[in-house]
Amino acid sequence: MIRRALILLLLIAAALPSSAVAAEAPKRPNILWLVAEDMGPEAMSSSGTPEASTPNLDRLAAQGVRYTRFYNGHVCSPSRSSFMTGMYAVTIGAHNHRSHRDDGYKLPDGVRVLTDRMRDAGYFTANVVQLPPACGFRGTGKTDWNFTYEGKPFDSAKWDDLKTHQPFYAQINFQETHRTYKAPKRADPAKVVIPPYYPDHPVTRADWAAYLDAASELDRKVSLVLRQLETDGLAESTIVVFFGDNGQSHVRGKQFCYEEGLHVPAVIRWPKDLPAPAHFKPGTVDDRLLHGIDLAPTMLDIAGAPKPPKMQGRIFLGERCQPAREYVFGARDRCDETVMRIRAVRDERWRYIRNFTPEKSLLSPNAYKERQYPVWNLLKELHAQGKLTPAQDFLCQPTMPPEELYDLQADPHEIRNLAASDQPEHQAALKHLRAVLEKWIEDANDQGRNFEPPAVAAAQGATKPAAKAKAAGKGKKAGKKAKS
Amino acid sequence: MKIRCTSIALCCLALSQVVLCPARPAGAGEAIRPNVIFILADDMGYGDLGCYGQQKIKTPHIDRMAAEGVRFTQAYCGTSVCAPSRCALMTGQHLGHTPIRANREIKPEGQEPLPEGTFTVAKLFKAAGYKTAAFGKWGLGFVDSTGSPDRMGFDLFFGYNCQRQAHSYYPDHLWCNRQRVDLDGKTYSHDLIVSEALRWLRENANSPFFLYLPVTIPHAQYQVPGLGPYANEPWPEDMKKYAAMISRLDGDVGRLLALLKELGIDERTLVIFTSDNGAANKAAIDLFRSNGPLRGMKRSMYEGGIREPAVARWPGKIKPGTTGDAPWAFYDFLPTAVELTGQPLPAGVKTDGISIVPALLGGTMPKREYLYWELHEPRFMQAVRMGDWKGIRYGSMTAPMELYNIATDPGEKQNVAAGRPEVVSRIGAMMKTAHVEAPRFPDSKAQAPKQATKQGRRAKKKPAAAL
Repeated sequence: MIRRALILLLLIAAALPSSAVAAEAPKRPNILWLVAEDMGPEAMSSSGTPEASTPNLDRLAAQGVRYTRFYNGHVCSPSRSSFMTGMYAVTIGAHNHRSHRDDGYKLPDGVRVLTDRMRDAGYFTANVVQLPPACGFRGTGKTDWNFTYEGKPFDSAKWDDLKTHQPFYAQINFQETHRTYKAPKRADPAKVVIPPYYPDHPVTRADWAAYLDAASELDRKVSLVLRQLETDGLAESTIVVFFGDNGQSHVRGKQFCYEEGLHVPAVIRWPKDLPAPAHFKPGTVDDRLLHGIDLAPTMLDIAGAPKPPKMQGRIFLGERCQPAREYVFGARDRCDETVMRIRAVRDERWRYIRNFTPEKSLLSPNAYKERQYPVWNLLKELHAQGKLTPAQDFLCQPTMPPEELYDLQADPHEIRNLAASDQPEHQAALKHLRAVLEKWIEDANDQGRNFEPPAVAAAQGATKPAAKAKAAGKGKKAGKKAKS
Repeated sequence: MKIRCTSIALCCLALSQVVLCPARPAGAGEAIRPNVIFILADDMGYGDLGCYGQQKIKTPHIDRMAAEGVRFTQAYCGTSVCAPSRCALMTGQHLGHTPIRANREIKPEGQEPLPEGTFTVAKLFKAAGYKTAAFGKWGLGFVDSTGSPDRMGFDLFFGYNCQRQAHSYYPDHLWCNRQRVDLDGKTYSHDLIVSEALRWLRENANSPFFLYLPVTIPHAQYQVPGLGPYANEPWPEDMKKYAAMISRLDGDVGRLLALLKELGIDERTLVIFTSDNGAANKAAIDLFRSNGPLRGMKRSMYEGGIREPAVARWPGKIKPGTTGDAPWAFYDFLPTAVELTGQPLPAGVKTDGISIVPALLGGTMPKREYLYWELHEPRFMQAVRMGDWKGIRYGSMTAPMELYNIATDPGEKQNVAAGRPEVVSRIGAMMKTAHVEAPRFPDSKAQAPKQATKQGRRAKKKPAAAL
């Protein structure tokens, strides 16, 4: 008996490779998010936009996957509160811009910031501000959450720490595509293409070109980060995820629920030596409807952690990929001093927008936009002179439609509102999506159904006197948001 | 009782193997595991260095390196044009077996890639626990292809992926692995490549490393920031630049060797300097005797195309001031790395070469049956060296052979094939054995009559299917 056991042991031992003792458990990949501010997918040259130039992002996409129907929040703070928790901002009460900064508001039970969960999974976390000298710039370190977080949400702000702490989940936040645009000039204003809902005017063109230039500068900085990954030997163990927090900062862009407010670029590159997960084919374009809240559970899944029970995002890569979304939702609440409540849903073909504050005009006073958007004032001028096309004039009306319906296939610029159309197909779509949206508002427990107290709204989210005064002063400075 | 004891003893032995055995197989304890730096000049001829008889171009640092190490008189490249020569260096296979048999451009940027899974000397060093990096010109696979350097065993690559891009020393971009690095068009690429290489060397001085430095000097175009001591020479401008480029490279070799001393790793590092094929420029060959006394040049099977300057230095191991006469070729580098690191080749990987460690350390090289070269541009050609005999065929595998005795006729002036049918026959048999058709470079295309052009003219570029 003992002899047989010994012989068995001998056979087993002989069969083992001599390095068996030194074998390592498979390492989990690092994750690096590159987050742009106020950048729409049109700013990537691979989208075909004339004068756009983002060769490094395009190459990243060619080496990975470019997502063509990835949607996020409408403005930074609700969007970031949302994608960092895997929850809709309206569900967790983070829907008003720059709210809950002084009232100790905590995330609901069962909702936690992604970094907490990644840490539990054994990941080191960083929001990188300090990059190696070769990069020549700093990350902004932006969080911008509409809730209170106790402690330090990230373990480090230094790139160098990533080399010695793995696996890591790190972010680098870029500010380039957020106004004020300051990039070197490259795009030719004469050659850019202006959407039909903005007046084709030198001011519009110069502004559009400046936006594309900002994206080129962001692209240049991204290339430096990607090079740093190579130099530090991290490229082949790091998943790179590039995406935007919300759409382009423009009159009908961010803060509204049209395509250009919610549609953002998204690219994922998988390390070439790691087996690509299911539902990921490098070098392809993926047009599944996706939302920013889907990132959190997908990252957790990569880390080997289970998706938390309450998380609303869906895993979109790998074995545990969930069914593709049929609908993507959008929500807009108070932004700065402008209180509006707008909700939206899109499916494969249609976008339905419901405006709960239609008495407010699209060009409702907003100090930030008045200072920052050249086309904001241009529209008003040209409207007064009667020089706008109907699609452009729509923006200058004293009220907004309570409902809008757009056929995104026939009308990608969303200038033909079909909500009042009596065509059966349009009516069917309207009724269907209205119901879908209303159901979502219920299911998501939309906190926006209750407006903030007027005093808080007037103070732009501040609830305490000192903070209120500061916020009042902030209204004046809103145009000059300087980022480090 | 007896059986039980034996069983127990055997078990203990087996267990001890598992527990005590290091990652390398038994016998690896003899491997010295030096750092290895392989500097590869581009289109430098056999006679371009002072220590090889160069009278006009000054190369004091490499000359000193030879004085402190060994200078080889019969070192051969892989073949007489860039990409396939480097292929032999990387794969340890001669040109009858390598996947690449000619330069072939793949638009928009890059060359025919090494196939997926090709085993390379860089992969060997990596398996042996070395850090690996390449700085300079790659030419063995466009970015993101199966043959890009980061897929071929290099932790870090910085430089030109594409040989054509490398023609300009003021490029608008280089590559860092898969990441494009945009430049201002005013930076002298060679200087940048060298400084990045030295920086990497500093950062990795404490681990065993393999540094491959395929610089682009003195490949055309002839561009250099300053003419140095040649500014007032009565030569054409291009020739002054050619000389200044080589002297600049020589200075950088000096900096590299000084850095090894500074870092205290001089005695742990084997440095090899050589060139990928013979000199390419007729004017330089005439003015500077770039190919020495040898016949032919780049794209030829004569000695001037395939014999290279080669100097190696390893303080404490290589006897200073020695001359090595044993013939060896680029495809010997892989088995040399095997012996230096103690890391065996993986199962299924074969090499055509043998280790030149004996030649480095002053021992005797085993006799080898033959050395083999082949090239498919501008037309098919192949050559064998069997002892002192050199056989060459141009045009096809059935073309009449030229035969030279390298010992008595180093300039390959007298074709003695007619009087030596038995040698021709033996060499013919070796050529037949050595040559195996390459999937990406079919024999029929290589030997097609319409491809027969005057030797030295660039082959027509075939548009190859992108991978």
